[in-house]
Amino acid sequence: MDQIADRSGRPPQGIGQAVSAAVAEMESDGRTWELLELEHVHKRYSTPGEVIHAVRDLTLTVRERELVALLGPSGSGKSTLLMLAAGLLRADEGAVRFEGRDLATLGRRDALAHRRTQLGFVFQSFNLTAGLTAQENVAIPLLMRGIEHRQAHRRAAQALCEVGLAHRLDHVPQRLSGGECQRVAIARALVGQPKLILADEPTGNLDSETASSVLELLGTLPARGGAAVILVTHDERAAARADRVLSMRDGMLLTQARGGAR
Amino acid sequence: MISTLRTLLLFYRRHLRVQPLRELMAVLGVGAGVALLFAVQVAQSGITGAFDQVTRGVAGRASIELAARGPEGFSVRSAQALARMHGVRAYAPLLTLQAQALGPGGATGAQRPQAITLVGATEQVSALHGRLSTAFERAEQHAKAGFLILTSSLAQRLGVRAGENVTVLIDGRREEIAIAGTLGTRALGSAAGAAIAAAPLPIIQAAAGLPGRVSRALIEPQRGQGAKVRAELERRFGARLEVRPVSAEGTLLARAASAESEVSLLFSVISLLAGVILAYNALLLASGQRRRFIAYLIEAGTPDSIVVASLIFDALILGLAGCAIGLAGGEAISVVAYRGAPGYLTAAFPVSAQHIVSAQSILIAIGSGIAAAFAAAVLPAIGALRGGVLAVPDAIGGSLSLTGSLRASERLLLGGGLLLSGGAVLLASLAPSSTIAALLALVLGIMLCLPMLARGLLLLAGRAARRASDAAAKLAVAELASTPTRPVALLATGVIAAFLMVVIGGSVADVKSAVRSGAASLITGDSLWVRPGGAQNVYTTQPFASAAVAARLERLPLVASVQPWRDAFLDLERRRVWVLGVPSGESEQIVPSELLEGSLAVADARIRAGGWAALSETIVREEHLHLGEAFRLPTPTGEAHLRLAATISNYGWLSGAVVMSAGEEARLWGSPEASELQVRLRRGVPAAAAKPAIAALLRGDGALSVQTSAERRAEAGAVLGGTLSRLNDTTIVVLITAIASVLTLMLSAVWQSRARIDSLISIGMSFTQLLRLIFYECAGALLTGCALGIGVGLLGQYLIDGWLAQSTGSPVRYAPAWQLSLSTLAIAAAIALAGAAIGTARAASTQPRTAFAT
Ligand SMILES: Nc1ncnc2c1ncn2[C@@H]1O[C@H](COP(=O)(O)OP(=O)(O)OP(=O)(O)O)[C@@H](O)[C@H]1O
Ligand SMILES: [Mg+2]
Repeated sequence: MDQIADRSGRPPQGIGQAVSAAVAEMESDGRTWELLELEHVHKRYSTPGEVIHAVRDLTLTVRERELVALLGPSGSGKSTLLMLAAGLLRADEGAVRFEGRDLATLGRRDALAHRRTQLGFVFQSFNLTAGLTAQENVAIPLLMRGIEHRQAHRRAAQALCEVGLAHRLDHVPQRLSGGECQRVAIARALVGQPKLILADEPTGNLDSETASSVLELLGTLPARGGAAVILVTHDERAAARADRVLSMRDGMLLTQARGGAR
Repeated sequence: MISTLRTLLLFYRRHLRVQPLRELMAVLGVGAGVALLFAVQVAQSGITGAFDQVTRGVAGRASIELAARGPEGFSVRSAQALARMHGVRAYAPLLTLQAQALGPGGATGAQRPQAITLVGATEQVSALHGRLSTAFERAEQHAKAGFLILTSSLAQRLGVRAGENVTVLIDGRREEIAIAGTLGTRALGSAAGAAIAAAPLPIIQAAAGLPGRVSRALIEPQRGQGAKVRAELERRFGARLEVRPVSAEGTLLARAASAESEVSLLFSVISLLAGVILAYNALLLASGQRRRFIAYLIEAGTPDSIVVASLIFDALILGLAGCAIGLAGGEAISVVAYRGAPGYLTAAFPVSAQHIVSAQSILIAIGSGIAAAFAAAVLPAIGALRGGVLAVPDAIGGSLSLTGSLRASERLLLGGGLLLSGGAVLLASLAPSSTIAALLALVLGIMLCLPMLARGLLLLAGRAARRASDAAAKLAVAELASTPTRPVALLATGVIAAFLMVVIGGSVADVKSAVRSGAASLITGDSLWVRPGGAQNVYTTQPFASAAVAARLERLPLVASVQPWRDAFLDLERRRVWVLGVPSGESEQIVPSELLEGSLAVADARIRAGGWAALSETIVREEHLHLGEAFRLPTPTGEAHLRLAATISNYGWLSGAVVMSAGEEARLWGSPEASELQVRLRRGVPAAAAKPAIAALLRGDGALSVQTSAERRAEAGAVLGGTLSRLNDTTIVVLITAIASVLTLMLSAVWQSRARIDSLISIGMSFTQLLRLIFYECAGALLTGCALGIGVGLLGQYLIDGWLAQSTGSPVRYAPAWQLSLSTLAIAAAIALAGAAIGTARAASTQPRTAFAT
């Protein structure tokens, strides 16, 4: 059922060398790996009074370096789907597999290691730490992994260059524009060289002009860094950049439209 | 009107919903202050109020009393002479004395003796129409058998009923008295809780071995004749008896308890201030929220009057809720912790504390609670009103970042704070009587310095964190720097809690040890001590037929010598003093550690020679005496003319002591009976080994007890250690409040930054990193606050000690409360850790969904 979009595999550059090496190897194989698989996944929330079926019988595959746009009305289960994909939530039924490994089998520690090394997150409200500079904010995930301060900062600077903020390393979020803040957040998601970036309405707090530049940046990620991206958005323009556009309603996937001009 | 009220309620319900924890914390702060204030007052009125109630209940319409100066009382014939005196409308002779009682279980030793007040009266007392005396008298007349009427609570404690016998231990003898009946609250009101037993005068006289004697006569003069009657009484009896208003003893009691009540009041006022500051903290934390709400109201076109009314309404609710919690808490404290009268008071006054809640103490508590709430609310409210108009929806947590204008006002605050605290310290050390005001100023001054201090600390921490590889440390410092209200609130909480703990705990310990050492200094050598009564007779003021006992003891081969001490309480005009009659065999008439002014050797010789006495500094100051100067002492045999041999401290009786030779005292009191025998043993005989032999010899005398010096010291320590010990309970309340507010602060902080924490969890923060993060965010500020509070507390302890030395007349020595300081720090660290653990567990146990878009 999945449709493989054709894409112009630009040569990998900058960060994500290891991943791109693997990609190169994979492409030489002539086959594309399945990065994330959701199989008949069901998620219920029990509230006093009612049971909410946030995700029902959802099957989805995301391939490496794929940009998937996820649309849907409020309450349709998009954020829930992202949390399931990240292993932050356990599916009630069905399986969530990352590179063939069932996330349900991961212990607390392995799940943490998985999020640290394989995933990157971009949030609607940026969730940057106010008192830290852009560089420090980006270095945080590396420091959490136990990477030494100097190396972490060097890699953070690199990531900020990637997102076009080389001149804003020492600025604290209060002195950055919304678009710049979201770029810092994207750099923070990239800095760990993840295989999958989960972005939940990253442009929700931005004006439309800033939003499109952020979307553009996100659109280039699969090609440049080698990370696949699941992009939850209300923005129809995102669909144009995506390899695939998925639409959700009442916890179910409706359509799988082919992506636009890539 | 109703609709306005409904609107205000609606607003308040919204605050409650949005910020329940901080609303709770503000209420707790005010509540704790109110609780302490209320409990202290209830405890105070439980002693003095109960005493006055009993006095009035017995005296009825009598306004003047004729009171004996010694325990032997005066002849009932003097009282009968009153009947013929012009202007006397009614009078009643009474014999009241302190004794111990045992129920039926007491014979087997299964029960500890209870301290009781025995009252012997004639039917003349009903002519005075006192509520209590009438009730007792009526019960007496209706009794079919037996003599003694007990209050119901006393009967309950003794486990006796009408028809049974009570064993009364009086002046070293045992007497069995049959019970005629009991009286409960219906007849006596709250006095039913007192330990009073009454019987016809002759019965009590016989039991006490004082036939034909009474201790006082209550007199009701005819209308308008009061002054004349008093003058006539003064002329006829003034030389040997006290002629005074019936309320005089209550005044003396209040005086004796005044050191305790003053200090308690000081600390409860400080605690109230602490409550205000805790509540203020809470409201300050919520102020950003309120500001936005007010901005919203103003934008929506709400009239100013409603906005202001809403702020006033909030403060009022805070005050009322604080009062409700405070009154309930205070009631609980006074019932659980402040129960009973302190031992040192019951030794000198026939008091037994009752639970009396006066309208006055409730009103004071409510008034100060509401005032505290308004004090705490006014600054945040002004801020909210001023800021409300300009409020801008704030971006990325930058709402509270420190701006330039803030910085200038912070400098001003720092300067003012330093000036205030410096001035306070200076004031207290120059004029100890102003210590209360100075301490309040000191605390306020320190509070003013906190914002600037917090900034400085954050700057330092920021430097340290810049190079750190610990993500938790970096994040914590950044978070604190961008929302400085919370660290300041935590700092303040730490300062106040630690300050109160150290200053109260430290100075109370200093006073206790001074009082204890005063009492213990008398009990020297490895002797045995024989005296009537138990712990209640800790000042050994009950004389007994000592000559025969001494003679028998001296015949024992173990005994080297027996020395009679002759101690007594004596009422001066404004205080009940402890008179020590020191035996001549004692090598030093004045204990060196108690001497304040004068030469030990000279004073010793003069006291032995007779005609000289040493007086406590408090008395000397009150009477403006100098060494060698003559003074008069009202004694049972008439006014004595003595000269001042030395100025001394108070031997553990805060109202003051008089030291003279035992011979002198026997002469002045007109009685050869000693109140305590010190049994010196032959060389090489340990007291513990000799004790059984002595006890066996005394068994026939029933109620005499034998103690070794060590036991005697321990008992004195235990009873006198009760001085100010209620204050230690105060520290527990402070501690609980501080713990509650720190935990609330921490948990609300975690709750407030849920999205941030959820996003950190998502991007890979581990449980331990999160624990560290929350711990750093809170512990740093809290522990620094504690350290500062300890420093200021040790200073405060020093200042208070100076004041206490003066107000209690005890040799209070400053012993810095290091141990307490350390445990305070440890407790603070433990709270921070516990708070961090709870916060982390709460954050980690739920899905981090607030990080995601909804
Ligand atoms: N912890 C929870 N407990 C109960 N119900 C929940 C919980 N989390 C989500 N829901 C419900 O599950 C449904 C899906 O929620 P979800 O947040 O995934 O929707 P969404 O598509 O992300 O919506 P939006 O576009 O508004 O972000 C909603 O009806 C929501 O109310
Ligand atoms: Mg969502």
